[in-house]
Amino acid sequence: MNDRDEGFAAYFASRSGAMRGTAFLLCGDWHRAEDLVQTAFVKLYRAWHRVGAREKLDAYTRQILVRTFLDETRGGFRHREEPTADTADRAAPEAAGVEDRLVLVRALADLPARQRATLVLRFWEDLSVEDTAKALRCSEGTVKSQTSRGLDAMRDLVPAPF
Amino acid sequence: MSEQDFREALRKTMDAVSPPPQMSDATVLAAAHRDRRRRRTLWASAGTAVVVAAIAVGVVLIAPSKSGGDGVQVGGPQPKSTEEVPPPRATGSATEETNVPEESDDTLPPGMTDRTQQSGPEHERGVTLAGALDEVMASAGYGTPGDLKGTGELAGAQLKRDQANYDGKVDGVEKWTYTAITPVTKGDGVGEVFVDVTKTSEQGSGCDLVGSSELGGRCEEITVDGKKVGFVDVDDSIHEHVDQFAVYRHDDGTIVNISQSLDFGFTDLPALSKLPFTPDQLAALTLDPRFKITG
Repeated sequence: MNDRDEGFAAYFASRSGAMRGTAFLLCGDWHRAEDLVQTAFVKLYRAWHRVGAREKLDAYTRQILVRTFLDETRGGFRHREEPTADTADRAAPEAAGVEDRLVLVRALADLPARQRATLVLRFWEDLSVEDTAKALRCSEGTVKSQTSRGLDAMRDLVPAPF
Repeated sequence: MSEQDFREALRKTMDAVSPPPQMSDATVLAAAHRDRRRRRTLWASAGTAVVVAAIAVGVVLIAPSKSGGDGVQVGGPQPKSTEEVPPPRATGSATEETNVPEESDDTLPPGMTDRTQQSGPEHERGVTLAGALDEVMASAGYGTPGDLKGTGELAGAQLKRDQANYDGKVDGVEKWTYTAITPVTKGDGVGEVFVDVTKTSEQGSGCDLVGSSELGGRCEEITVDGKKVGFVDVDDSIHEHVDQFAVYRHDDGTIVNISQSLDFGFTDLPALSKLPFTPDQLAALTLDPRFKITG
């Protein structure tokens, strides 16, 4: 394995789990989340030698992930699957209460893609308004309005208290 | 639900939900290699310029699809069926409203066996374009070696190319795209600059000429001598070996697109330390009369 492949594989091993969590919140489904992560990392590989400073890798990869998600929803690849914590590979039963906790994921899946992405970046990835705007290639004003609308929608969709 | 409530709720949700087993790095690496091989094949067969020209002028690839012939816009993430589509034709306009397929005839002119003319007046225009590009790069302090061969996935390939590509007849008039690609050298670094020239009857100027660039890169209009030039800083994840391009439409419909990159794609040659041109300089070059080679 050459240096590029070694570096890339090491980064994938260390960060794909976290990226997949973000993708799960965006997609509402582990299978789609894994497809999204794979697509994003394939794109990252294209530009691997150009990314430069390793501390920028996470931000860069996150950008690719979110933009690929948005592009796929625009292109009609989005399909409404029921959010599930389970996968075909898992044999062990889930703990009680998982269905309750999926209420939030289902509610997120009901939001328009950009609102969903905004909320996930702001409150799961804990990005600032500025960094969220960069990731989404929009203005900070748009991030603020999408955040506000998204939270309003979540309040309507998710029973309180949560 | 406050912002903090939502933040905590997300964390509780993800703590409770069990993820599948870890993804395999070998699987993703294999997928990345397949993707690279596909993109390299596209470059080798059609030339980088043809692919990027498609992005620059918002080409809709009129390709038959299972769903009934919808155009697929280049410039964003490649759809899985990219390798099935034919080479793009520049239309010069990005908007759906104006991107109507022109009446075209793809029959090759007499004497040609493929779309590239190897001798004759159109071929000479490509050669002229290459000469103009060399002059520009020399003035900017860069070498343009004609004998530099690629390394890595382009091992042994000549990197300097020029061609005149026949796009077909549109409304009875032959359409050609002229391309000149050169490695550009300074110190140990090797970058890439190419220029692409075609003529179209489509209207539009500046960023009108650039396709949906939200994922390919944000377009900015730069004014040069009162004329609008579209400039794009390309998203690396989409086109890893085109960093920036600028596109301008002359009054007679000639479109000039110039792209620059820090490194020469698909090779392992060391990159330049900085791009040859600033955005303003790149934009200004699109108006350079030496590049207006169309009749």
